[in-house]
Amino acid sequence: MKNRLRVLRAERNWSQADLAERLQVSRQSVNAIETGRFDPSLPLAFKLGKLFDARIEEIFESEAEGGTQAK
Amino acid sequence: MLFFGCRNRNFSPLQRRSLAKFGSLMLLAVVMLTVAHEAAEHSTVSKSMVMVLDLLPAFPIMLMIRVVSQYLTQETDEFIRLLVMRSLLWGIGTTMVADIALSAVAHDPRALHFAVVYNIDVFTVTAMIALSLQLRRAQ
Repeated sequence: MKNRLRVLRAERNWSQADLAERLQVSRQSVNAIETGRFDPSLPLAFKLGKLFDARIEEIFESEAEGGTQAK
Repeated sequence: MLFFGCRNRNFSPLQRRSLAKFGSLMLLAVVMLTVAHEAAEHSTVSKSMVMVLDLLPAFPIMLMIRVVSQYLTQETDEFIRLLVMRSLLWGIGTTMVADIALSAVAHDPRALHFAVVYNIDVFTVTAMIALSLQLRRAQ
């Protein structure tokens, strides 16, 4: 799953550690999500949405759908 | 390796606490297994007492499972939980493979005692190495 986490984080000048602290997860988790090696659970995705004041689909995008509207 | 982890500042208090409990119980299991083996080999204790001593190490091992279970329940970081689960699977898988290999070469009943101690060591070392490698990859 692709995501805009790195961009959103950079816009706010947050390091991975800053974001990890705000999410109450490890920095490794943030890195794994950013690089697409780990897809977060729904509660963590909602937490990200709330933190960046964005909807989940504005942060994450299914690679299979290629950016088209969700079914 | 386990005791080093207990002091690692990169670990959360929950992780350090769980490692300390797990390490202590593992040590206790190894000591109990050694005592049971020595009692069976060299002392004049009754057969029923030897059986009791042989069964006692099962308790720290069950408590180790409980510690891991509690840790997984309390760990709030889902990615770290995934890495721990994968490491445990590596530990269990490697121990089973090592057991099969050992059973092919060790036909001596006395080797059974060492096999159990060896199991604990292989499981712990493999799981810790797998976790370290995965954490390094996630940096």
